[in-house]
Amino acid sequence: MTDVATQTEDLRETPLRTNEFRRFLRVFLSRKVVIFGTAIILILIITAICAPLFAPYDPYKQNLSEALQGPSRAHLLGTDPLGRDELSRIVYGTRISLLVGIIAVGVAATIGMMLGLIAGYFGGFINTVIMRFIDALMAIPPIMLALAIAAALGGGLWNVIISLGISLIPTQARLMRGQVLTVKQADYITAGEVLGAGNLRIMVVHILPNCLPPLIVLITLNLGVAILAEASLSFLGIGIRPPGAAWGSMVNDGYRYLLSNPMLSFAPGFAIMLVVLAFNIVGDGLRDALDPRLRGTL
Amino acid sequence: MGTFIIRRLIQTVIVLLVVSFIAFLLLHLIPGDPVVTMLGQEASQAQIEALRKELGLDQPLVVQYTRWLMNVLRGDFGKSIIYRENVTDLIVTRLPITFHLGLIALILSTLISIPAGVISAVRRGSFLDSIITVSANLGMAIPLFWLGILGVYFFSLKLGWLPVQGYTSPFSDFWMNTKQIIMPSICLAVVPLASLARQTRSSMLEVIRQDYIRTARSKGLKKRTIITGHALKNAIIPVVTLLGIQLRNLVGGSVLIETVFNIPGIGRLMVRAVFDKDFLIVQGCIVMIALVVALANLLVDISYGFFDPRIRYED
Amino acid sequence: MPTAAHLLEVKKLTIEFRTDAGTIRAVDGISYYIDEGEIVGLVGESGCGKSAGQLSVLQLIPTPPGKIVSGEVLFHGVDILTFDPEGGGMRAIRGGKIGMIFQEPMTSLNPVLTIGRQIIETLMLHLKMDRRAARKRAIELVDLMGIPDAAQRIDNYPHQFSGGMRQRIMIAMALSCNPKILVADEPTTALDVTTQAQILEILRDKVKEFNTSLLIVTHNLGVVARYAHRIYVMYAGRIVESGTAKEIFVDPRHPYTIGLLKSVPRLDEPKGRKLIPITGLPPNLSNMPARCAFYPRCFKRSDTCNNKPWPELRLIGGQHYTACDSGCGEK
Repeated sequence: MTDVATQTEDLRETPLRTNEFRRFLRVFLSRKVVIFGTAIILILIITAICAPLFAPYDPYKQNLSEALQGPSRAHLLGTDPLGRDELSRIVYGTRISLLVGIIAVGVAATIGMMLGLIAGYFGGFINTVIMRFIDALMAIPPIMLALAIAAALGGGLWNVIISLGISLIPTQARLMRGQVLTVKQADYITAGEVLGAGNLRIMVVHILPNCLPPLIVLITLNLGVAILAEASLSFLGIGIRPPGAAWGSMVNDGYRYLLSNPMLSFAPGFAIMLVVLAFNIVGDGLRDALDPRLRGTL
Repeated sequence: MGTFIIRRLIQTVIVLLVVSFIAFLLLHLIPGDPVVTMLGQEASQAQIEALRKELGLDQPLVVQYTRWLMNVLRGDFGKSIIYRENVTDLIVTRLPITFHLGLIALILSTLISIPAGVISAVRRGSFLDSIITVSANLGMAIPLFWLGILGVYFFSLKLGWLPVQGYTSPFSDFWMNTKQIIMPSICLAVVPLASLARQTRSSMLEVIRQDYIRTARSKGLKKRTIITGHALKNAIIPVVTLLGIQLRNLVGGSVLIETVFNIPGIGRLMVRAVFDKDFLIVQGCIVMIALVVALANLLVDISYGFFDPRIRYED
Repeated sequence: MPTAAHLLEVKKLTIEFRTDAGTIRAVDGISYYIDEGEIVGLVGESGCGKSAGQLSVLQLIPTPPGKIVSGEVLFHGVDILTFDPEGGGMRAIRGGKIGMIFQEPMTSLNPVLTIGRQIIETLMLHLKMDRRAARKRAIELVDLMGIPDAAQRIDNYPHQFSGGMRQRIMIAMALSCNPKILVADEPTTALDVTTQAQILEILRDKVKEFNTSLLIVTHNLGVVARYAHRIYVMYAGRIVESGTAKEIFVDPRHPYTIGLLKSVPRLDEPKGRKLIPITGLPPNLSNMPARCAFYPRCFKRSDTCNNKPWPELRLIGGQHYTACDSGCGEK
């Protein structure tokens, strides 16, 4: 007689088999834009990790005698009002953007997935409570939520991460819940229940892996959203303030000198746009490769 | 349809209550003494005690919340420390301005995005489609504040066509107001425009593949009739959903735009209040904004019935 | 022998589709015709190309993946394949002279438009009626199809009707402009058995009433047995046998037709008779060898069949043609 545990194991659907993975890669890399986007993201990651190697100067070192210079041989993008090299600050800015993005989205995804999983699986009252809470969070524009939290807790890196993370939970939770509802209907879930698998086991081992594809897409897109939001908060002066090298606050600093040194505002803004664009493109590419049927929904 | 509306209304009320609770909690999240933070370090003990009593901070939490909620329902958000005016008055004077900005942005984005999305879908793969798709992608990636700054640089500083900042009431000087509001509205409209265009395009592409479009063609209808009369009517439904979400972004975006262009709307009010640690204003803003967003979403949901007969006639 | 021009004649039509897996020749040089007042059946398995053949008559095949490689479609002697697919000529024929109904009544009607609107727009387009007259006619048509309360229900939406009723609405819509031909592409496949019978009865009656010719495409032999005057049997994109209904059913010659008949249960046969299915699977249309495509599944195949190209249709009497020349049609 076969072991019951083994039988339950066999019920698990392996989400990605080898030739499916190859097909995924083929579709994913089929468009040039997607390759371009992936390249940008890789460059971003490498730059963030090896920032000291790429930056020509120390981004925090002030040098008032060289303040507000335009682009030149020595300073490719010019210097800011305190004489710091703009290019180096942009290079170091990758660290903050990436850090905030990854942690905020990571937190949001984890909490959001848990909430969505619980709400979708158990349904009923639990579902209602969780969903109303999610709705309430969605009624407040993310920036204002972040502003409010910043008002209470002060600005700074970690508060930005917390508030961004909170504002990204709703979309993750909703998507997860929707996926759970669809997957829950599948026969292999019922089979698992019949065989006596516990709730937690079914949720984590059987349902969760099959909900992943659209969530991966959402996470990628949200990375772009988070970076954009962090930049907005830094611009407002809530997020990371100088001397920290955050692209958003660099744009803000440069605003005052727009006529004389436009590059101070242009360059960091362009960096933000490029990075967010890359995440959007890659997110789209992932969605097309994982399941084109999602086209209408994400 | 009736039950649908009632259910949504109840949902909205519950959501607003939860939001109000979150806003209320704000004061209590502050590390340290909220009153001292609000008044600043130089405040006298007497002032601190007076404010604490006024805010009822010496009472238990539930009592505080009930008292606060009662006030809010009467339209009283308290008195701003900094401005020494009623928060409600401050908000009420500024909300219409943000509303004005948002409305124009909304109209602009809808009017442009839907035709763009349709054209892009119908002429899929053409040069025009590529332009529209790339523009939409760019539009979704561009930082709003940066776009505003670019606009100021080119159109105000370099070309001198538009004023850099400010806002005069349209009732006092319509032309000046138009010049001031054009750039901010366009900037604010960019993100919803891009998003709606993309959604319209993918909806249309999805709809065009459907069987009922094949039926329409087999009846000999003209292509234009099929696109507008048959396809678009179906494709617009998910776009309406997206519109609800974009409303939230419009309001959020106004925070940035009002800062860049120095427009005295509710966004700028809130940003200043955060820096001034004027929590009562922050609370008031959150509640009012959530109210506006929730009501707008409710309207959008109700409008579904107009667009999708399957919802209208849910037996 | 000289014949008057048929109402509709398809001549050596070939259609290909470009897919990830290669180029598929869905339809390979088929020819058939239909005359006034006839009911003609086109029978074959799923994927044999019969639907593609029909859609191309009205140029409804999406032309990026699909392509009409060669052939003619003569309507009243004029090749309508030369018409511009979006032009006024083709559009006048669609719905006006040749009507079409499809397999899936659930998805073939536009969910956000009332059925009245969907019928009225055709009437206004082809018969140039004004809105009031069109509405009146639409109510008549819906009533004619046996839907009660027609005057009220004309303002209902498709989701408020059952599958069978939706199919009747589609028939009403297709017949509304008195077309010469009605093409029914698997009209009953998606319906349950009782509804199937009802729809077929309605189809048969109405085409007689409207004096419309009917071309039924189906995989179900039972459907054509009762109603069709003539039948074409298709396999792997080609016609392998054709003739009057009597000729086909009494004396089938092509092994595929024989196999089809043997695998259908009949009430008037002894209980013990075994159903004999046709072994094997339909062929992959993207890599077709030159020989007869039915060879791997044929119960009377011989080596000669494997070494020569697929035989052309040959006349064996009356209107009976078969594409098998190994003389194995004898039962």
